[in-house]
Amino acid sequence: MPANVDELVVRVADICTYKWDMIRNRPLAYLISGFAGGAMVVFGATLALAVSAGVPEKLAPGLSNLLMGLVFMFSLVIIMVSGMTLVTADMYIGVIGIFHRRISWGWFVWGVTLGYVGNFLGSMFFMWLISKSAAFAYMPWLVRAHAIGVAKMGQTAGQIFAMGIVCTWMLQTAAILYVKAEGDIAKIAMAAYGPLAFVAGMTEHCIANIGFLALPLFQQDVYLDVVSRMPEVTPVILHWGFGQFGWAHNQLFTVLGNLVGGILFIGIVFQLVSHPQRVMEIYRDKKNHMLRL
Amino acid sequence: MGYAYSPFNPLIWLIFIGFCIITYVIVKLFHRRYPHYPDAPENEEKMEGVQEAQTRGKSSAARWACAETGQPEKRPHVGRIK
Repeated sequence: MPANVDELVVRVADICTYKWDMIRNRPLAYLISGFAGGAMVVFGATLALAVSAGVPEKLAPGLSNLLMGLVFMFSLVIIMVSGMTLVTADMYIGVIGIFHRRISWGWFVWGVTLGYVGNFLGSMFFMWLISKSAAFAYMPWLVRAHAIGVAKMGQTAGQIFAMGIVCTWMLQTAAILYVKAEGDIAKIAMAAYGPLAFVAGMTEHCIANIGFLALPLFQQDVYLDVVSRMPEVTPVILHWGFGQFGWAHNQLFTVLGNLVGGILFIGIVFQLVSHPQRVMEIYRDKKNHMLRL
Repeated sequence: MGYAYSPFNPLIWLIFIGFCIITYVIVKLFHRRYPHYPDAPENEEKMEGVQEAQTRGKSSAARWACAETGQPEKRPHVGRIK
């Protein structure tokens, strides 16, 4: 029997205590788990790029998105099953922990920051490694990676922010239902839904975008060399900074959108839907206040 | 349109600051309405601490568990990380 919403918020608060206990007492371990979690996210991004390159749009406009989502969806499963850190999940966990007085605002901000740094390092390092392999520096993957970069980094701030909110709304719905579900199959199904939805839905996830958008930048020299022999192609130059086609431009507004989506539409919504008196009843007989994912 | 690609897009930052304020206010109002949340008041003498954390020695939860017999009136809420 899956947990009801009252039991669910208590479980999430217990996970919060476990995670922030690690942040408090073993910050390096938390940073390393963030590194592993960030790399696991871009495992999915790499697979998504591998299967979606060269799919003709005439066949079905959404087919490449579906393929990307199908191979991306196990990223969250492996993160959740292995107990590694994904900062966007910690956003809703932390805010429920604040409601349950497990952590303060200061610890929340510190935990999210540390998780982001760990995820950043893992995501960026993995994609740097991929770029060094040159496995995706050939047609059609080279052009596909660049096209994804142009599409994502070419959006306005408002578009990125909106799709960042949608992303964590979808993804954290899956993540919190993973906690709610009982049994391995149900948990895997719940966790798989999140990345499938946010990738097939063309939304913006800050950790996925760190590596996903870094790859075309790492390979830009090769790309420009290839397209210089294609007179019909006018190359768009990507860059690391702010402004249109900038990596930092996408990252900034994706992070802001992800914060709003995860905290407001998942953490706060589930907490306010739970019944405070029934939650307090659960606490009355409760002895263990930590739960590992 | 001039701020569409600027990091200082005023609309986005206004929405984000508004979100931060709303979140803080919601938590404050919730805690004001339920001052003992999530502990039921009669629960104060029953809690036995964090069993798992007691084995960990350094954690704040374990420190609370050890300190609870000495200073019950200052005990933080269950499982709190300080």
